[in-house]
Amino acid sequence: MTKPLPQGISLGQFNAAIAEIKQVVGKDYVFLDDITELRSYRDAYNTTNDADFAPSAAVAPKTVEQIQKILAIVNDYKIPIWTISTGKNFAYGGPAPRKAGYVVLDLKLMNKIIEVNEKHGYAIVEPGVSYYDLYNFLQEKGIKLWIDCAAPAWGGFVGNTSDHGAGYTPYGDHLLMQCGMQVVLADGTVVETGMDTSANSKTGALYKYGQGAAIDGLFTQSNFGVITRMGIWLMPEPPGFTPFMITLENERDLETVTDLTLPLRLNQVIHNAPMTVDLLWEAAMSVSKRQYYTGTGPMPESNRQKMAKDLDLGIWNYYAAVYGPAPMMKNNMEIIRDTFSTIPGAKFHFDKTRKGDPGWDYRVKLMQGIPNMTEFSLLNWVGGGGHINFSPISAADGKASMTQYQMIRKRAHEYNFDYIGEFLIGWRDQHHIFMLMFDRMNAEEKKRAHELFAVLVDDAAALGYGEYRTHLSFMDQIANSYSWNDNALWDTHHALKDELDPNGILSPGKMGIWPKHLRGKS
Amino acid sequence: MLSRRTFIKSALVANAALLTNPSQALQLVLDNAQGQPLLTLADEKSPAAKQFITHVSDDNSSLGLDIGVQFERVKQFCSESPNGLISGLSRDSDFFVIEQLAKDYGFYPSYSANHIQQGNNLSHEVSASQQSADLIAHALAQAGEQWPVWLAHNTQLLPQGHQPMVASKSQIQSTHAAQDFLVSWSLSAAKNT
Repeated sequence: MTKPLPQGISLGQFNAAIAEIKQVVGKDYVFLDDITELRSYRDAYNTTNDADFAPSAAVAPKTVEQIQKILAIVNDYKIPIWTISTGKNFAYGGPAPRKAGYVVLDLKLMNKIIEVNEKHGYAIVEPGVSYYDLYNFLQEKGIKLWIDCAAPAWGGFVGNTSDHGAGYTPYGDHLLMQCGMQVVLADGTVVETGMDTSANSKTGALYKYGQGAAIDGLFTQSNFGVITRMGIWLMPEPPGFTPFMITLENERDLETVTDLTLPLRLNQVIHNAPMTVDLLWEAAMSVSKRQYYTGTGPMPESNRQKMAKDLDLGIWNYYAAVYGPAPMMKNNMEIIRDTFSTIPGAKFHFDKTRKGDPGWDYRVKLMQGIPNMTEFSLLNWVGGGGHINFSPISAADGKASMTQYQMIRKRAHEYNFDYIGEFLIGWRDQHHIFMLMFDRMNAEEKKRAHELFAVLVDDAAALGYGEYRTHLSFMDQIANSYSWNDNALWDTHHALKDELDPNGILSPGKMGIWPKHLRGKS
Repeated sequence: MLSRRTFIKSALVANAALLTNPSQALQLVLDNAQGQPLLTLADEKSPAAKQFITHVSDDNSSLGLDIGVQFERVKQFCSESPNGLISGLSRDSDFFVIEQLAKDYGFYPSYSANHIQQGNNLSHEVSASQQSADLIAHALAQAGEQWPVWLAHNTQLLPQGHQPMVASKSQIQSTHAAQDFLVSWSLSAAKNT
């Protein structure tokens, strides 16, 4: 196997840089073996070639000072680094870099929980702190705060927040619940955002903005600095929690349930982001496709209907929860019942009758911030477990839901894949997650998945839908769809990149933002 | 004197034929391996995985739908048993997660195999070192429907080195029809190879 190297860097230069980095972090924290150590820094679910995203090395610093020294070295050699926190976002490329040869800056060993403040409801954590780490800490200490985790929950706060991720409690908009961060710039300067930059500040994790421009968002998605610490707001444990599920019988119910939800969300009758989940996603928690259909291509309707009946699932399955004192929950649940009972065939489910069902159990845990990995069961739907997520944003609007659903399902079927998806209604928007499942051992299927994804990006753009993050392979294509006013937004990103990272060492190409010397060459 | 690798090669084939009764020579190797800590994990729903785990006497555990409940156990094992072996017969997704978790402790895959049953057609797709892949695929096929038992008895004989892996496939006709997809695997620390 030929050692992947950064573009324009000789083996001699690479080895010299690595020798210097070993002096900084110690040889045990520099990973170079392509067969063993670097295997897990690749994109296991790529739709092209394994080599396209193979790093040359990974390095795991433990302190801000070590990061500063590493950045000085890679600036000297002009070696690109690719920052990861826990690197578990496998639907979008996991820990793998945008281009072969980058050095992965793995922040897993920076895993300190710096502060938890129960009174004011926040925590300050380093990038390596996983959802499990903070959850276990709060449980052990008896602190009555909830976390809000992604699914599956082996990732961490800094990485997911930085990637604009979302969760399932009322604190599910992670970037909204972020407050204050520490960042190391490409030249090694350490910056505190918001209030913590004033002397003796005690409000860095309480008030987001401070004086001057609020720049936290600039450092998301890792283009302009390395986030080394972050404040996150945590939800006080509520006095009560009532999760519910509504099974819906017809495809068209998606439109109705979305339109009925929006006013309940805007008025905070429903406190968290409701999820409208399609049949196959739900079923895949407990069964595999081959148990119901052994043919090729998408599962036929008759098999879907049998599966829905066997598993007591709807064509759509709607999850949400209310939180608070019993009288308030009772009042809200009455409104919710009255609202959704207008949908013919809508059936309510609660813990009393649904407990033990795999889909219900893991969603209920997520809606109260209990980390779990059950959603990973999806990967067994077809053998070989490959998947990438197509994630367009729309208004929380019934017609938009149906338009996106029909567009994606039609294309998926044309390319012989199942539609497996869910909608999450945020404050006013809607995330649509289409999980494109394929057998990662099957080269033809991977190629087909890649082609489908590229077509979906163009189809969505033509209808006015953009994606909020994406897999490594499609970052440039999607960046090109953010092109209003002669690419003014991306020109701004690139102007910032040139100023803050002139050597282009920080995650070049992440989400389509490239340094000057690589721009237009990807 | 036979090298460990050559000996294991012959032992794998011998044990494939003998199945539940290891030969005297093979027992010697197994006895020598007894000092190695072993953690074995198996899917709780699959009949084949149940068959596998009932023939494993070491520290073992059934895997439910949430692999997350095993995190602390795997981390603890890796920390306390740097010379240990983690093996399993599980869903593909569970293997993927355990692999990702164990790599932070220097444990990497040295063997894996997809066991795919489509109706009466049972295939074993083995990834292992050049020296072992064909032998293991052959042995699994020879074991017929008792392949989970063969795996259980030979876990510690499977390759533990970290060499480039190659693929080898075998296929048999099973007497019973089913639809199943399982992965067997073993992870060991790179520093011990």
